[in-house]
Amino acid sequence: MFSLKKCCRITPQLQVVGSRSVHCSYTTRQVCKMTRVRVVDNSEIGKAAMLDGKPPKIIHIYSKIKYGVTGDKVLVTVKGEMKKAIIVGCHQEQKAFIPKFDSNNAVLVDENGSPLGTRILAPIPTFLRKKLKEMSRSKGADYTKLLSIATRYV
Amino acid sequence: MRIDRCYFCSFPVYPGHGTTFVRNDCKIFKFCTSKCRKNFQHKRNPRKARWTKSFRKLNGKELTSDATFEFERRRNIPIKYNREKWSTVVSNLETIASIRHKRESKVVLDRLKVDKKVKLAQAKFLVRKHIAVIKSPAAGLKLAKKVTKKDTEEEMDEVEPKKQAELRTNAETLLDDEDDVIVRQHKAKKSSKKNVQFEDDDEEEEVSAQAGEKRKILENMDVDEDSDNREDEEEESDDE
Repeated sequence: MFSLKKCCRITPQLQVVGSRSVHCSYTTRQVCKMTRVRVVDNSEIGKAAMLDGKPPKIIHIYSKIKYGVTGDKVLVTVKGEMKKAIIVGCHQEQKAFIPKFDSNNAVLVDENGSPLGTRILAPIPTFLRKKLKEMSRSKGADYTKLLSIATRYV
Repeated sequence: MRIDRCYFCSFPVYPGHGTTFVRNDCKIFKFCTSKCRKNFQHKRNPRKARWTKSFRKLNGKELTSDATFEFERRRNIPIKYNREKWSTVVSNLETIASIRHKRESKVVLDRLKVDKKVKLAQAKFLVRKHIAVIKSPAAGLKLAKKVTKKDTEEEMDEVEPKKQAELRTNAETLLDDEDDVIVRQHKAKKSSKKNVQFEDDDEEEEVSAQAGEKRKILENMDVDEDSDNREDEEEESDDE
């Protein structure tokens, strides 16, 4: 639900009275390594992890950029195990036509792209239809199975 | 393709415009502009922001419940495509929109009419209050004094002193319009709240003097009208 950021949480206009001002970059709300992610499907591991209060943590992002974006595949540690997941909604403002979410949501997935759960509870951006199709084409694994268990689209 | 409504201001959000936000309770918020989005982020209530439709409808500034709104209501049941149905709907869209527009504008115009009456009453009161700028209170005073002495002395001697006082107060109230009554009531409310206590005798005298002057002016106005009528009668008699 929350995520540890590499950059500082303070706004850049931090000023100490009577002395030099300290500049910090804005909070970026990016999804990167070490960010904790909210599981949005009804898989057993995901449920247990969220109940414990130890949501899955990202340890690797499968993209050439260091930061994750809606639709990216991601390596995640859940309950001491390593699993793959797909980011289904970001707190950060994404590109046009992609809705913004209140938290960084993810759906746990196995290596072939089939989801571990049977239903996705949160609304999913329709943008994923296009993106997941592209992903599945290149790698041989079918990630569009995710969309079949979705209940609601945004 | 769908034209949504902005959550904050209820303006239409056309495709390619605005932003969407999904809360963790799975509620979806659509905004037409960053203005609405930022107001929402600042946790402002759209029903308190005066420029939003929700405020206007809540406070009776606009048409709220009408049959024409039923056509726009969201239906989650998909309808099977039927060409005739589709064409009739498209052709009727314009008429529905024009009817709705007429009804909405009627509501607004009715509100404005009320304002007209209020403004007229206010203007009348202003004129009465500052009549001295238009017409001097001393105009025709001397004449009037002479006339009152002659008439009223003759008439009033026949009447009891109690009634005399009554007649004088009635004369004042007869001159009042509805507007003056409203204003007077308003003033009475104000004065009742404050308990006026005169510290000096001088103040009392001043206030009573002012009241006396006002009465005199009113009496004189009465009398002026009568004198005008008398002149007309004389002219008519001459003509005959």
